[in-house]
Amino acid sequence: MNFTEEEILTQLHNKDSCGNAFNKVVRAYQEQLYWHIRKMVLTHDDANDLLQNTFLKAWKNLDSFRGDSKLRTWLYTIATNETLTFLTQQKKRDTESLSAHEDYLIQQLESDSFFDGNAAELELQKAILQLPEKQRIVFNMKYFDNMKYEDMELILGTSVGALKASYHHAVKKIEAMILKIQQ
Amino acid sequence: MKDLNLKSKIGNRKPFLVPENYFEEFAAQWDAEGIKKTPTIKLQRKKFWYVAAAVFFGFLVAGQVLYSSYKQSLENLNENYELYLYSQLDRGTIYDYYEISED
Repeated sequence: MNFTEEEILTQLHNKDSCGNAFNKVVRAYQEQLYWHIRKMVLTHDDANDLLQNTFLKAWKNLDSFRGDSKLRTWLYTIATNETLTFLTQQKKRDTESLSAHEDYLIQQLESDSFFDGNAAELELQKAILQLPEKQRIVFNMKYFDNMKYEDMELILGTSVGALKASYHHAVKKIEAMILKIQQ
Repeated sequence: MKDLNLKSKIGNRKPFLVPENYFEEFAAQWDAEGIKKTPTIKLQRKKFWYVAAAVFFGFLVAGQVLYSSYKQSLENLNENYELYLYSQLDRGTIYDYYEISED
């Protein structure tokens, strides 16, 4: 990333430089936001759509972003909200029961040509899908990205203590589920 | 660490692929002038033309309706006036009128 938070904020709020500055923001954060979304929705197409929506929303609401939080935190919050809204709508649209929705996601994952996991990784993904959505987000952010709890607190608006507890329970549940599958 | 077993057994690699050059192409889309601005601007422009067209056709239809009803009421008025005139005349007056005209 070749800009400081202050520099980019000044450029983003300047009418003449905001376009270029926003392009820099897209280049800097697209990859980490994509993976944040992809781990939740699993398929590339959905992740791509949600990433587009995230940046569009950020672009439209640039005026309201005054730098109270870090740009990265703000973008992660938008991406998380977009993803959770999408998953809720998908659940309502595609299936009627929670387990049927999980089955649907697992089927999608198994048939996805962009899934590159081995058998153990597939089992892990199946187990993660059994978690409630907010716990899934916490687990993914910590387990795959090793994100600090303090950063997660700002993005998810949940206290560090609650996040630690949520992650701990998630790990326990997943280990139990994998053991059950293996037996 | 509580997840030591999980991580050591399965690892924490992301088991997903992305299409080739995906991130490069994604960023390039946003670099292309207008793509980030067009959604709102295009919508506003489109909206303006939709509204303009709707107002124009609205005036056209309203004008047509008003004109035809005005025309109809004029015709009715003329017809009524003629009937009124005829009702005021008796046969003798009409004959007198034609005789005077022939003289």
